[in-house]
Amino acid sequence: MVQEESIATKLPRINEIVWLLEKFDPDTLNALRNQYPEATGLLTKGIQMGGTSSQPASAMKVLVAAALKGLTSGVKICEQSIPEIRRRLKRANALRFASEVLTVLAGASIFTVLAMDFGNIVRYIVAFFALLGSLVALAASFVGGTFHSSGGSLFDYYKELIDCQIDAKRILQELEIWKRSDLTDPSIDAAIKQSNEICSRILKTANLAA
Amino acid sequence: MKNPRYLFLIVALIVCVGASHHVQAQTQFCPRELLHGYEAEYVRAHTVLPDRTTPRVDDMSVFVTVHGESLYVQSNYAPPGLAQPRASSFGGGLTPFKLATDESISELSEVINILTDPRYYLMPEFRTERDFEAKRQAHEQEIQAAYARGMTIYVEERLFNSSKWRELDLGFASDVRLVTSKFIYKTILRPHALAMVGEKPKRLVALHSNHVFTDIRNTAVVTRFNNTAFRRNDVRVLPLLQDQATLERFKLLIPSALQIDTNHLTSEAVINSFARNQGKILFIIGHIPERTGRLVVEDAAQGEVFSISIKDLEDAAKANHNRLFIMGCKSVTEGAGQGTLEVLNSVNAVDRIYSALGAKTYGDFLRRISDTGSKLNIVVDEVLIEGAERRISISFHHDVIDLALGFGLASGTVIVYEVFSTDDDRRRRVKKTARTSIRRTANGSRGKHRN
Repeated sequence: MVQEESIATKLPRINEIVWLLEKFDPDTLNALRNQYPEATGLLTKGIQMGGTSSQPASAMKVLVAAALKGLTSGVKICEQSIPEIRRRLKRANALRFASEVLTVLAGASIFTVLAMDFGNIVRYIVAFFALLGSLVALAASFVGGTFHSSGGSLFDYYKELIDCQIDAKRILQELEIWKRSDLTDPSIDAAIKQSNEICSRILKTANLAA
Repeated sequence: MKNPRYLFLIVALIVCVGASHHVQAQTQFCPRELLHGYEAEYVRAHTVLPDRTTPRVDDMSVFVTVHGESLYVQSNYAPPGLAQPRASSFGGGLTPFKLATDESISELSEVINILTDPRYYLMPEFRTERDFEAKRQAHEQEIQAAYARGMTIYVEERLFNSSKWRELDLGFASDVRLVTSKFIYKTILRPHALAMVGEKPKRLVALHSNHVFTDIRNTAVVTRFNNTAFRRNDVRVLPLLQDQATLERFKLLIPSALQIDTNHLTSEAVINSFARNQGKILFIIGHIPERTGRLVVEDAAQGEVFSISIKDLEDAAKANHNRLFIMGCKSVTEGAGQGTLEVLNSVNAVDRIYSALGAKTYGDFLRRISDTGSKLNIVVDEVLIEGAERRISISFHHDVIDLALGFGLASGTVIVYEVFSTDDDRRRRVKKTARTSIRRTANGSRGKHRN
């Protein structure tokens, strides 16, 4: 077997791209590993924590291919998550509106007047509306909440995923052009690093918004 | 030239002529009395190598050292049928085989192979064209087998001070002995048996068990590792990186009580976490760019978030009695007291720690660290078990106190106790606990106590 010429330059990292593929699109990752068996080290999850190791001559090709696949999967995750988050936000909005209506009803002066004629029944109804208002408000914050209370609001994630989707599509177009070049331009490194960073943001947001 | 006999004659003539002149970037060898410029090495080799020569490669000894930029290798091998045996003024036997080279050779076995290659010594039985290649290959195999079993390699310490030769791979040599100015250390060695690590100060470590290296002068510590019980509650793990695969694995596998919080980490927060985990084995998983001596936390776009020097970590660990183990690439070479000699994947590092948490003894613990997934050469020293051994000592004396207390209270005698420990803080704590316990239990009884 003819050994490929190896290069020992410092390559941009694709750890988050690989992890995104492994979690959400393992078939694509396996296909990449089969396509580039000489570069399985590059397609391993986690990071090599220092040192230098010689890489196959096809390394840049592998990185660009992985970035393209990773971003494509990332865009798909965004496309699936964004409508779901939007639905949850709409539901939370509706609940919040209902809670406000109930709270307003509970405090309405009409009940004070009615209470003079109907006594206890009206007082029960008012108390019930007040309780329902609080419960619906709680439900609204639950529906509009995130995986962890310290993780921010669902709307923040909605915004972040939209940003990620836009960024991913932009870098995808850029990489498609670079893919046809001889892959020696230093700007490709920056594009791959950005791809890795976008995949990291998508992973974090998708995890927390779930 | 069809007849290799003449070719070898010419090669031998060239190298013998070359041996009398110091020529740059070449290998000099010849079964002559001395190699010009290497007289001192020749004498030192004679003080270490056996006086007698041997025709058997599995009985031969080899002396390895450096002279300037050159590697010098000498043996007591003298094959039967050597073309021109000459009497040696040292020892009276045949002149020893020796070689000096400043070419780039990465493996010692390759050097020994060249040193003893029959092509260069023109033994009569190798002179037939048909058999020669087969016999030469057989000889090569014989050398390889002997290298792994039977051959004794003496390595001078100065080899590890040479920037060019310090990483010479000793391969699968079975018996490597370190020669210093005072002693010859015999070590039980396997692949990468000796490693000189760190730029400054230099440490010489030797393999004592499966991929676990310790200081070469402290062989007794291995028995202590095997005899000391391991408790997983002594471990704390801090991943100093932002790789999500690693962090998810860390949160999944490492019990939360053993995790050090990774949110809002800064170099100060890392140092502060040492004080909160005094006496613990601290595993720090992190990226160490080559020849920086620093752990660098990078974001997904490879921008530096913060970094911290290994020296600062070691100092903080020392101040807080932590037993620090840095899981990063070649962390020991980068200055860590305990860590790795090789490159390492971050997810695999978590798997190794998780596997080690199930160990019963420290020996088992180290085996699991070095042998989970793939082989990993690690370096540890006795600091790893210092806390654990002390704990055993304190527990034992505490039991003695309880027994004495019970006996003393029952008999109404004066109780005198003392706790033996090298750790003053803990001694005070144990004393205090014991005293409180005596007072509480003695209340209402006639028993007295005295410190």
